[in-house]
Amino acid sequence: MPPSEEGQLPCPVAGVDMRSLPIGPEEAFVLTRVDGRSSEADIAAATGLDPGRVLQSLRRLVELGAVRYDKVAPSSPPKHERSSVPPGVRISHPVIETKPVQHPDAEHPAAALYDPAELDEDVDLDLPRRRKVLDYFYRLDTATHYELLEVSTQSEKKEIKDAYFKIVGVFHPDKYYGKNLGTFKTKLERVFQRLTEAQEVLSRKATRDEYDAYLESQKRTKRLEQAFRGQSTELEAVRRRIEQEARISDRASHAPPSQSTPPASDPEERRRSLARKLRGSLAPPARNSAPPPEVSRAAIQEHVADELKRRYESRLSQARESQVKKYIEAADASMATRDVISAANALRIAVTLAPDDAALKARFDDAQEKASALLADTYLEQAKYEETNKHWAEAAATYEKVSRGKPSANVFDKVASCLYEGNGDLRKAGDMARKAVALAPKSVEPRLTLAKIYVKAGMKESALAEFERISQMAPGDDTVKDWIKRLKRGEV
Amino acid sequence: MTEKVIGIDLGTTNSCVAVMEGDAPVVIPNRGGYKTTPSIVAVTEAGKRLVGHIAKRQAITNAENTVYAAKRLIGRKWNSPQVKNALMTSSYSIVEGPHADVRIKLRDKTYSVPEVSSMILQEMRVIAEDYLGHPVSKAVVTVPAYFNDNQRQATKDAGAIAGLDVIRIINEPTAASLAYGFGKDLDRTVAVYDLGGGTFDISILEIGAHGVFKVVSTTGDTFLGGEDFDARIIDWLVESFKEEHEIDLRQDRMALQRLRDAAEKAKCELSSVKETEINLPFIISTGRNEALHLQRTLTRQVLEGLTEDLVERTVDICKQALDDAKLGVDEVEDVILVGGMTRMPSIQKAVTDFFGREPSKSVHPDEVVALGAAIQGAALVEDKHEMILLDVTPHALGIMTFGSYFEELIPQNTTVPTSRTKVFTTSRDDQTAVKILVMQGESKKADENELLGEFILTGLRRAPKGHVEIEVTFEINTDGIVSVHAKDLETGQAQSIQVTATSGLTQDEIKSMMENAKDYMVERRHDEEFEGLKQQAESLVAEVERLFPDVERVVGGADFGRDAMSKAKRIVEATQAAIAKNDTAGLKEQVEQLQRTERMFKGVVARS
Ligand SMILES: Nc1ncnc2c1ncn2[C@@H]1O[C@H](COP(=O)(O)OP(=O)(O)OP(=O)(O)O)[C@@H](O)[C@H]1O
Ligand SMILES: [Mg+2]
Repeated sequence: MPPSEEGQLPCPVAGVDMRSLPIGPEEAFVLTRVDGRSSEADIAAATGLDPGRVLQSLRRLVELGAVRYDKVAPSSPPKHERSSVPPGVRISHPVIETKPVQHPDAEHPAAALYDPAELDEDVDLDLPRRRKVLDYFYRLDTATHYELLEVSTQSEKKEIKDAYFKIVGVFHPDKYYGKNLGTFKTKLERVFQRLTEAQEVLSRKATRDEYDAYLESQKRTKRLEQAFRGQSTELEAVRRRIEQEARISDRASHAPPSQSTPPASDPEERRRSLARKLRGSLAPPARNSAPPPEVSRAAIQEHVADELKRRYESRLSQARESQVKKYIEAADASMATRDVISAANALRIAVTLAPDDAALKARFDDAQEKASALLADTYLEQAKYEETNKHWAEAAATYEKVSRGKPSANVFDKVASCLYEGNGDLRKAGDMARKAVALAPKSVEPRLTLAKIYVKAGMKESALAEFERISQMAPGDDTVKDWIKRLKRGEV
Repeated sequence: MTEKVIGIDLGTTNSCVAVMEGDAPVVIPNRGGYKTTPSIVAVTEAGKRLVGHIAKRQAITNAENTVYAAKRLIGRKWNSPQVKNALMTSSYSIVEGPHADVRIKLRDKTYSVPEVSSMILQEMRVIAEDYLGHPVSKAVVTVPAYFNDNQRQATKDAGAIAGLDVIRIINEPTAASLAYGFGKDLDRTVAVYDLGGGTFDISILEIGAHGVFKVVSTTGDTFLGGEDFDARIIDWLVESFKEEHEIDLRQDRMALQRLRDAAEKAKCELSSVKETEINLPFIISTGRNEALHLQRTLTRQVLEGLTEDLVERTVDICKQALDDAKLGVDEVEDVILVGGMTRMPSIQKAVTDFFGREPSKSVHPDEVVALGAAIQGAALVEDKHEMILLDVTPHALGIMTFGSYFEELIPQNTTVPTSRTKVFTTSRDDQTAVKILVMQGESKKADENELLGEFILTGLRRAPKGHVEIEVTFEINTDGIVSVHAKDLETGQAQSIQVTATSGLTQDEIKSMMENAKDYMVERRHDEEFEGLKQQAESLVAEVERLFPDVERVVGGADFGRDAMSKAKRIVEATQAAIAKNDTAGLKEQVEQLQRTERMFKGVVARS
């Protein structure tokens, strides 16, 4: 697929459940940025992905029927609900309720995470013990401190200590003194280290508060990410509900519409039925008068069907209006509690249901902008926590998310330095550092990061050039002088 | 039954050994019946090695060849301030070793510090073996919590030289807390204040369910202890003597040793009385053969004045430990006093004031550490004890980075075992080696921290710069000992590491010292056996000779009687010859003969 033709933009296809698509994270990510207003280049900028890869993902999404190319008039409203910001989900939905998904294997939550062959290793540990070690080990990256210690988020310090003291005996290497543990040894130690970290963080008020805030912001962003994925489902559900309501009230007074006239959810179908409706309204009124004898039976039947359809349509639009109203109310309520993200999410659904309401659209845009900034702030909190706790890879990824909502020299510099610290992708670190330098050419910090990245990547000349620039900017810095001296002497 | 593991408190001043008997640990007394043994080693003029009380007793007359407080030197570098300090005050001679380490000269031989410590460990092992009646090969040895990796490693080396498998090194205050709380199902936060002869440690622990002992923070000073209190008294005596006689007593090793003795004695006495007399007649002679005496009265008040700042220093360190633990002083539920120095009233008062509570009286300050070590030993090798010790690393671990800065990898007070990995890349094309300087300490400046070693990753694969990535894992094990290993990230191959610039002994040195120690033990066991046989033989000879006249009277007339008597005379002569020749095997034979002769003689006399 060549880059889009003049005036054609990728648009999401309505009613596609993203979760049902056989796609990878990158395609999913691209899909979330397809909003009918952004060009491929915009999407590449928004996702930070290489334009070639964006095109590749889009091609696949077109093949799967999740995206199509459409001509878009500059003033037309967005084709669909997706945008560059993940919408928030209210905990209490106006329409549907979300239920937590019960894990299929609650007893061994990590069972699906590892190859059962790992249980067969020849070590001096019985099977339940081996299973326990693996269960913990493979959940280390995903479980929270609370989940690992099996305590509630409300637990007191004492409960946490007791829980830790109870579990630590299982994972402390001393319990297996002189035993052959094979690869379980390092696993035990990793789990032990993490459990200890969990207890230490949770048993001090300051660190626990920090951690709770981190979890909270993570939960928020996770919710948003989930909302992303759940978006089309929720919208579908709303639509179904609207149709259901229209039909129920139909059934109450009349026979249900025949099976052959399914509710129109497809815009094409809707247009056709609208045409039929128009035709029907031109026909002589049929309500109270008996049909003229010259009119054929078939014509009468059609007339009745049209009439039913008309009523159905009107109820449909009533139901739709009432849902729009509910969502607007929900948005108001969210705004009142400063939950911008939920508000934006509710407004998004409202806008989709009432695409021609310009005022609503404006409100949505406004909420969306606020939500976007807020989200960036939330990510920033998260990133800072990860950074201070030296979880470099996570911090780099989260700072990168911040940079999408609120790009700044400082944030790009953070992405770069976290990648640098965590021995991450040096090329990317370099790109980020250069972005930071471009945004703040006069500040020393990003340049220092860049120079260090050059050193680490073995690019001595670039490093030297950068250090010399820094040295001119901050002539008093002895460390920089030291670097230069060493680089020149080839000691690096 | 699993082999018993002994617990050894290798102290600066005194050492103590304990073992688990059933579910309770007991201290093993030495041959003299004492529960602690002075950590003193001496070599006599005849080249005989003395350890413990016997070495202490001859310290004054053999000051130059008597080593005390070797623990203050263990794992230290020659150019460290602590060694400089010891050079000034020691009566034995300290010289530089081949690895910029410290050696001690005794008579015509130099010994490494771990070797000297191994002599004490060996003594403790013998005490345990005599008591248990079977050989012992495994031990848990304690070290001050604030010991760094070099000091721990050197202590482990001492164990190896003594032929002991040191299955674990544990921290002294932690060991004390084990003895305090083991099997008691406690649930509380405690502080252990340990002021011994050479070092000060403070640890804050949480003791809780399932036998868990978790150290929250630990800190200390490995050069602050009873020795420093003694030094203040010595200074006080020396200065006043100088004022009076214009003679510096420090110049005379024997005088110095006598002062040291008197100072410690006075300090201990002042823990129970308000004033004491220091009386050292004939302390030194002037050029004209005129002897001078030293006689002074020291009051508790003066002593407290002389040592006030030392006590204050320990209190400041306690504050630090609480800060590190992020605990308030009111959250500490009990205070445990460890170490002989905690008998000093001004120390007890300072601790009570600081923590706002009377310290616990439930542990014996001299024995509790060894007891704890024995508990840990048993818990490791026997499954039946529900106990887990979670200790921390007292120092931050890191590497030297650019501009001689210290990059911290593992912070202070991290629970061990712990590890951290870091990726190093090559910065030149075809670079085949990468050097990493590993250090411990709290300073941002690398050179203010303790260098543990230079780790050189060698034999790297040739590739353009930046293409070889080596993942290096820094690990601190449950002994608090650091190890470093590395692997090539691309090939997954383990990377060889060459370690240099450590002050520790090489494997070869340890091996040869071990051999020497083994030879010594064989010799010593042999000497002991010979000594025993000699005593037995001598008393048998005396008995036989006592019976001689009676036997002569009864059977001297008969031929067989005369034969028996001349045979007995030959046996006595052979016995004396065997004793003179140090011939154990021959002596053993003669002892049997003597026993037979004695029986026969007694029979003859009885029948008459
Ligand atoms: N009654 C006392 N009053 C004051 N000090 C005492 C008393 N009894 C012993 N000491 C001092 O305690 C010190 C020895 O204590 P301890 O035996 O606990 O030390 P250590 O375990 O050998 O040393 P460390 O633990 O520092 O390696 C000596 O300095 C000794 O003088
Ligand atoms: Mg001690």
